Amino acid sequence: MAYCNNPRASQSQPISAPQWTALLLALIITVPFCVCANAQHAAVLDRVVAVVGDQAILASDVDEELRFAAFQPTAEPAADNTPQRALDRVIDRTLINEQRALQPGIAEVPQKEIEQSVANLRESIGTCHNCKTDAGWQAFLTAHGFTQSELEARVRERLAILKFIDLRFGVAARVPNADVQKYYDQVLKPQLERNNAGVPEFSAVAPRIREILRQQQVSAMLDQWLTSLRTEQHVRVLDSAYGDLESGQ
Amino acid sequence: MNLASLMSIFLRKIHIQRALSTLRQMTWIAFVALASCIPVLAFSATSPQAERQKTSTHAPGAFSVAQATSPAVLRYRDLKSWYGLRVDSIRFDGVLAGDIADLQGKLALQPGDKLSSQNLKESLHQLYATGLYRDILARGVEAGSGVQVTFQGVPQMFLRRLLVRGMKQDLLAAQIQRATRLDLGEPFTKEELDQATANLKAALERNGFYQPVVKVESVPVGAQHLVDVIYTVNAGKQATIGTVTVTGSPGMTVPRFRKIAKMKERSNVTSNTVPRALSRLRKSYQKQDRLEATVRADGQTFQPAYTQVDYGFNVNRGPAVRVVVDGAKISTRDVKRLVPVFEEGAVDPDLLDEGGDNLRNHLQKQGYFDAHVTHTVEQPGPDEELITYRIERGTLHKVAAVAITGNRYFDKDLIKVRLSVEKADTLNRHGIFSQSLLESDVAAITALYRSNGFANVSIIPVVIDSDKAPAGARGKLAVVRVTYEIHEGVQQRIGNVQLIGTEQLSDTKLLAQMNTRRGEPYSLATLAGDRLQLFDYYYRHGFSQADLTFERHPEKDDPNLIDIVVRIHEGNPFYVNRVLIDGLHYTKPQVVDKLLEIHPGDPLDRNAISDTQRRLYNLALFNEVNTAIVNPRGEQSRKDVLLNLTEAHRWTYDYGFGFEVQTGTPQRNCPSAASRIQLGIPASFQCNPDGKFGASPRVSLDVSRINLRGRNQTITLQTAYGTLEQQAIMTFDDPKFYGHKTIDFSIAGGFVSNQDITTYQASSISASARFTQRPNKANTLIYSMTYRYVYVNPDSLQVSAELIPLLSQPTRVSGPGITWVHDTRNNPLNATSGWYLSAQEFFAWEGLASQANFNRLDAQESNYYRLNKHDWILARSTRIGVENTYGNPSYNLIPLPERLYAGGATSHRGFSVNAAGPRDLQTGFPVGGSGAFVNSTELRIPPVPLPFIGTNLGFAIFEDFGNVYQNASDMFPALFRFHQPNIKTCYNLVGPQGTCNFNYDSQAAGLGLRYKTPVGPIRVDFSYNMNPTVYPVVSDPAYLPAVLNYNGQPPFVGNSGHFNFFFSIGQSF
Repeated sequence: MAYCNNPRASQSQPISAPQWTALLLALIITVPFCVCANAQHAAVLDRVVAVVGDQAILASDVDEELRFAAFQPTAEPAADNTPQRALDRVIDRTLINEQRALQPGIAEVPQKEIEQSVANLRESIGTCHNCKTDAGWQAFLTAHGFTQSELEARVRERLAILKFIDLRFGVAARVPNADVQKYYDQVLKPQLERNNAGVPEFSAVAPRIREILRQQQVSAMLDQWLTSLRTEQHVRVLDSAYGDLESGQ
Repeated sequence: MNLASLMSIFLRKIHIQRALSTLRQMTWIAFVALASCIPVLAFSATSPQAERQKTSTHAPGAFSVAQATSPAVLRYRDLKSWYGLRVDSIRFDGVLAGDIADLQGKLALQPGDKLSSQNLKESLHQLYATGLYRDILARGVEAGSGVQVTFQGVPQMFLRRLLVRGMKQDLLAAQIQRATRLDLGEPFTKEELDQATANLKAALERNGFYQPVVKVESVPVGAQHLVDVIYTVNAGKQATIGTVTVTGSPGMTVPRFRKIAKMKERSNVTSNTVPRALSRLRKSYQKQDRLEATVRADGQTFQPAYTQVDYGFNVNRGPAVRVVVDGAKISTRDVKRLVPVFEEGAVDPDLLDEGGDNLRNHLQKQGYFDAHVTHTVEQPGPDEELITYRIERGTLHKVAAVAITGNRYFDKDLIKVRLSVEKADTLNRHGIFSQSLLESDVAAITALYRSNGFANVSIIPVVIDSDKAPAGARGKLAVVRVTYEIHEGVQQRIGNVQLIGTEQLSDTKLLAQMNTRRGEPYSLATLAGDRLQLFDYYYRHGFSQADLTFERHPEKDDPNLIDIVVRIHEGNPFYVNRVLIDGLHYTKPQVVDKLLEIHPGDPLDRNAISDTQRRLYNLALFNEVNTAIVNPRGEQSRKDVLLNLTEAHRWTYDYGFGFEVQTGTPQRNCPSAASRIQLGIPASFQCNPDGKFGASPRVSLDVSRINLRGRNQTITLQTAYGTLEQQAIMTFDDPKFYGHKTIDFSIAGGFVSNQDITTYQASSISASARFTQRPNKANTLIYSMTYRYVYVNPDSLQVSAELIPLLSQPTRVSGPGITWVHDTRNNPLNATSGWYLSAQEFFAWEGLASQANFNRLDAQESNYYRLNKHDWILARSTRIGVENTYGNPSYNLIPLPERLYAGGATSHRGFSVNAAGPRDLQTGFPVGGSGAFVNSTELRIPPVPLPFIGTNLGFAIFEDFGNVYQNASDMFPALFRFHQPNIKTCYNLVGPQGTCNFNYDSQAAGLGLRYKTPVGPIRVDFSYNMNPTVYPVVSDPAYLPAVLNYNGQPPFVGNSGHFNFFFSIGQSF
């Protein structure tokens, strides 16, 4: 607040006695009035909280991300759904979207796929007990500040990002047969035996193990990529309520 | 602001100042409280001037204030009650309203709108995208059923100028300035300044300055959102090299290591110390065949007590690697060149494979087209590695023919220049052929056709190898014939051309920029050119974000007609707000203003900025001209342009040394016959009329003062002293005379003394004024007025002064002159195409105080032609010079120095310097004439690869003919006369003299060498004159007995000699 640091305000100048009286009177009258007035009517509506390259991220974006956490099949503990983590996710998403824009030609997500995904979501949200009815679903959406179309837009974006990541890293992820066998022998089998569960045949679980290992590889590559993107794009956090200032970490 | 935050400020102030017990201080708090709780009043009271002051206080250090006091933003649940309220007013705080004036009408949130999450969010994004805000928030104040919205931000600052002061070495100052990585015009923050300071200190450390005192100031520039950063550096003492520790297996002692690494104790540390050491050590190991040696700098420690740096290195020298070639004789030098393990200093499978490929290509170039190369790697000992390339050369081949058939659209020459397979010829005895080259040729021809609309082209290479032909006998030399059979197919043509997305520029004007038109052949090259043209057109109009996508769609009815759709995203245009010029101390601003291609209000055209930069550099008044756009990535529509200039030193001193080597160099200190007698010089003293083989050295010193009176004017003193030339000339240059871009003015005056002819030494004191006009790039016109006082040094005159008494008298020559130069050569230093014409007319007239009335026309015309794809150049040049006297007979003698001469390295190479033409009939010395004709034809053969020299040495074959003639009218009849008329009279040494005639055409042929250098070729020419000039050398009756000639020798018949040699820089014409 620039006027609080106004140097003119701290200048030492002789003030006469009548001035003292007038100023004190003004203080006594004004402070209670304006305190009440401000408490009701003045507020910060939105602001830039971080910058990714030249792109601003607003407090309302982070707030939306926090609210969107409700639309997960398994609800995140409230303590974990912090503004810092939400901002982290928004920054990652912004970085990926920037790269997505540089790589045209990726097919759009079909509307049917989006609707199907929303329908699946509607059925799987644990915290929403009335979501099977339209009224209950609508109430859940409203309670979290979304309309159906806004939610669909978010789902569309999420599916497009998943598709982009799969195209970018999925091809590069290679799981040799030896690794699948090693995972079966050294991880899955001992774990099931410790739990006295039946051990399935290798051939029955091999495709699933391969997919798990592939996803692990994709995740590792994605993490590495995001780390380098953060360095390249110069991510700055402007509000200490959302993380360490300037570092973006 | 709520109560909590108000109290927070209140308490913080108490804590910080610890002295708010007095009533006066309480009053200040009351003032703060009053101001804080009525924000609207506070903002309204902020005048634009006060806003400017507030903005200007946001120096980098001020940013943290805004961050520390980040106010809490309402969450969605609290904001719901705000959404839907009518927006009564919108205010902007922090950035001047003028800077975002053009945005206010386009903002998503407008007065009267209902407040929503979307329009608020959109507005914040729009404002942030201007680049003018470093931080921004939207504040709302509820007032009844409406809301007052204030966008309050911290302005972004931009770097205007970066200065480094205190460094004694200019180069180092520039180096550490670059190391800061601060770019002009870019957004500037305190964090970036800290990083820049760290970078600067690191750069100083790299140069051995470990204890510098660095002071940095960031000075806001008025209210312009600009900051100057000034570093004041006291670098301190430069560190020296201390101890060197080597770990690993260096295979040498530390002193030896230090010697190779050039790390002598107590020598200064520079940024090059470690890189040079690593490079030298690696080379040293490579010389010992330790190709896999790794040398790593393993840390450096500064010892403040001694101001020295101790270095550590880790070395693993690896095994000694030997590369052996088995099966073919390839020199060690070629093996090292072809196998990249030597150059890379590493051994890996890729490099070994590449070495194999290079060896195979090398053999294929020698005619072994079927060569096969394999390699093995063995370890005969623990410290040894053996790489063996095994070669099967196969049969020696020769490419007998390379043919192209089936081509109709392109002619063969156009296709041939794209081929890598080459037919054998004189210089390339076997030709060039390999399977990979054949495939690349097919790809090149296919690409050529496809890019011109022949989508279905097919190229079939047919190779007939006599060695493999069933009926052919297996001989020593196999013959390969290659034919490229081309099946062109149907050429596609352009259908409709459509532009989609144009809003601000007209389709008609855009289409006019394109060469792609309906019915034209479909050509990728043309489309690529059109794309560049359209981009250029958009950029010139300030649309720097324009994006274009070309789409091709075959028409349904005729697939060979291709519709072109250009999708255009124009973006917003940007304009120049202000042009901020900085750095002028001596130069007058109007000098720079006249050269600006950008002005406030113009479209922001980067080409215009580059042109301005280039024009300012061309002034030669500035060492540096840096340009930048302020806020380059911001959406702010009007942007400032920075022009930061660093003026050059106003006094410059140039000095040089040169020499010319040739036959026929005029001799100095060659006294006249009269002088020899007077000085008692023996009669045996020889001075040859044709000079002698020798070098003529020359030193020069020029002193210039540029930026005269703050203008683009220069005064220069050029001095030179050499065996053949002395001069001191003062010149005043005023380019762009009175603002005329195409006219330069200069005045020159001084003394010149030349001995570029064996006959005499001429001097002149002259003054001239000239206007040079350049109506266009190719043409130059020079208008001059010259006053010249010419005289011949009588002591140097080798002909009898009595014989030509008036020609050698001091004479004043004055008059106007005009010169036309037409130059379209592609490279004046070494032209390969173009035309050059120079025509000079000088008119000496008694009416302008001249003591001789004559006019002289001297013209030279040259052409250059490229003969074929081998870059053979045919160059030809013709010079015609004519002098005529007129008017008053007493002014009808042309002084000796003003006569026409020819001969020498840049003239007729059958003669030594200025030795062509008429001779003095007693002494045999050349005396020039009134007509000159020289024609030169030269075939310039491009460099061919040679051992040691590489591709730097080219050759030339030349033929020169012509001569200098007694009278201008003698010239054309003499051109077809290949012998001196009545030559027998030239052998007459005792009878009446004066009938020996020199009006004939002298022919010379020769061979030249051209060694390529950046400043033009070094030239050596050897010539043979087929019909040199014959002249009598008889006695001078005034001084010597009749039986002796002027040299004290018996009379004889001289000739100008058959052989001549010249050495100089630059082509002859």
